[in-house]
Amino acid sequence: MRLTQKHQEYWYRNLFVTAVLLLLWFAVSFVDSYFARELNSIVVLGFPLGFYMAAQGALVVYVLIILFYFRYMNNLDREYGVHEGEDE
Amino acid sequence: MHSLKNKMAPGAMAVLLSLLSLPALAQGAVKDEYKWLTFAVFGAIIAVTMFVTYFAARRVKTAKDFYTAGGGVSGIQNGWAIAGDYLSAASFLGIAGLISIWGYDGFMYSVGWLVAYITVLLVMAEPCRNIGKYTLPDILAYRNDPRKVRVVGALSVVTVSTFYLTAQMVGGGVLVKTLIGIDYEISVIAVGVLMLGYVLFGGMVATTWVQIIKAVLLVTASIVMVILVWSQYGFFGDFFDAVVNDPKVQARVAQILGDAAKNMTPQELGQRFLEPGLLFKAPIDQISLGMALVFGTAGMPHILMRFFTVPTAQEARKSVVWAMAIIGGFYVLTLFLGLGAAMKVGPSAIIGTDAGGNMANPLLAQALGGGRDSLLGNFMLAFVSAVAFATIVAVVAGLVLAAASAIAHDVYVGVVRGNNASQVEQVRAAKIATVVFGALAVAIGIAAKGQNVAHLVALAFAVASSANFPCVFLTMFWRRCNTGGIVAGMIVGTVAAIGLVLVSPDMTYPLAVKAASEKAIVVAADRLAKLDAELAALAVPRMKLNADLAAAAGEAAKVPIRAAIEKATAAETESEARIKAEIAATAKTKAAAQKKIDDLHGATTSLMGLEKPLFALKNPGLISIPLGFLAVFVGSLLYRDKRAEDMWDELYVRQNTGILAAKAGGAH
Repeated sequence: MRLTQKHQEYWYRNLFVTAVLLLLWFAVSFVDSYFARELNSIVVLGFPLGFYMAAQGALVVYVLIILFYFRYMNNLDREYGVHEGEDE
Repeated sequence: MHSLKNKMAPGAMAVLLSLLSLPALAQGAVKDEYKWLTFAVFGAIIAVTMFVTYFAARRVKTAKDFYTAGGGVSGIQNGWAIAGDYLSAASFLGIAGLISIWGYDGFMYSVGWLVAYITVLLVMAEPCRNIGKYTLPDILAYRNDPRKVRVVGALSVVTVSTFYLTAQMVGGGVLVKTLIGIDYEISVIAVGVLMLGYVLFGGMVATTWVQIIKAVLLVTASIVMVILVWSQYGFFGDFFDAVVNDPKVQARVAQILGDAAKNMTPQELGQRFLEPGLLFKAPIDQISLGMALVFGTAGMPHILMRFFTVPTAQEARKSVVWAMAIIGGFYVLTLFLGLGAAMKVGPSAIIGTDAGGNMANPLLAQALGGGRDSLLGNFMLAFVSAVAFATIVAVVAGLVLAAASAIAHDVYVGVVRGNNASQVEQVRAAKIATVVFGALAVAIGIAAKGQNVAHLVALAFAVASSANFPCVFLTMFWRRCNTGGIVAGMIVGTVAAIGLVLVSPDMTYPLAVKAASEKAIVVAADRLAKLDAELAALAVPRMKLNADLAAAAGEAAKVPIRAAIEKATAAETESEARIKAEIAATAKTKAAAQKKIDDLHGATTSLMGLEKPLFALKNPGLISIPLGFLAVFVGSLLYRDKRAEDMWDELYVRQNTGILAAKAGGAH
């Protein structure tokens, strides 16, 4: 089995979206908690922001990251015809 | 267990450790008159899981059924099962406890673990599902010499599982003992027998369903508790104000900060609870632990195995979405549980029951239901406890299945039998390996009673992140990777991780223990002297009060004076009792410190013959993970393996698309 042009393209797009999402992941997980004290001066919904991000915000962003990845990759699978499943 | 308490408070592995540090309580958290209720709830939950196992058992005929539930688990089901695996007792009990005791820093654990999952899911899950069949070594065997990599892979899987399993067994035994007061040995055996029941008869089908049931119960219990907490303290803004203004929370912060808290207003103290820095003091330790958690999770065999149970790559992805949503939602709830426990039960009462904070959730449940003397309170406590118990059994089941599959599938069928075994033989081998490994788990659990098994959890994650992760990752993403690299990576990663832990501060160093204990004795003696003086000082006004009372006797006009004197006497009696209690507690601390010194029997060096740690980090991840990667690189470059390179294109297409996965899965 050889790699076709199409497979390569699919793979690069996959890598790209993964990299972008991991960057976002890093920002939310590490950059955010590093600045937690500064962020605490901003109050959202009665919670200081730094505290809120660690407690709940980061979790919400994670779920959104995964959800985005899921939808993006499913579309990509369909677009490049590598959808495995129903037609099996 | 004693050596654990003093180092765990700011310790890096606090969540994991804390499960293992439950102090020996005189009795369980449940009163004797409500024991029947606890057993009834436990019985009901066990009955449900056994019922499921009975049906599962009829579905398990082939090796594929046993190891991966026949690939017939839907994305949603697998999502719940992954969430069940993830929400172990450590996260259910430990994190709410840490939040209730340490505030903001407690969250870092819930987020920290979830952070790990993202990397697993984004980078590893899908390709693993596409390449692997039943086990982690299957992934390695795809384009490398199957015999060699299966043996080293199985060794590493068994090592990781055994470490993690031992910690779970000891933690589980202590937990059950604390909750309902039955003997440690019986608790361990109960966990072992139940787990064997699930795995032996129901294989992965039952293991998956037990996880699903447990996850549903866990989420339900949490939602109910959070609604009750909200009904008392308000929602969001009000809730936050309630935390800042809570005197118990403020007292806790003042206690942690010590002298630094002197100039702070109560409001500021409450606010400080929601800021970082109360628990974590050594960032480099946190980074090292974080690395081991992030990459270790990605190399945990029982987690990777879950992705082989879904029929397609799309379902694997879908299960990830569900798992993330469930776990994320659960931790959003944990915020309210932890802070709710801090307000309703109070940090000092939580620490009083268990120094690691593990009893925060159960105690909160009891308090929300009406307290220690109410039927509802005890029912809720029993329910939360039963869910925690089911959690331990289910996680242990997953680990045993992973370890047994490495022995039966990789070593026995793959290497010894050269892949020539009928379905019946394969299933039989898997079941025998399960029984052996399960019995081993119980034996180790009992043997490790009272031991400091905390470093075993550190070890499990260190080995998984330093050996399994680099090998699995590079065989999937690096063209030049080959058998030489895998063998080198597995061995170097495992040895480096274990070796560094053995010379790390995780071990017990008699000289340090002695110095700390001697210091504790001096402090305690000092305090005792002060308390004695206070007690003596009380005696003087006491005598005067008695004399006044005598003088005031008889005359009707002096009734108010008499009442005042009696009131003062009552206050005196109260402070006397308080001082006496503190004297007793301090004397106990002193005796414990003395016992620690005696227990050393004059030893001056650790298990490894060291007087002090050679390696400063509690978790070796920061060093051993790069070493593992380096070994794979060097090993691969020094070794020639034409097959591994020839297979690259095929592997590449397959891991990215899953096109060949389903067909190849049935090829045996």
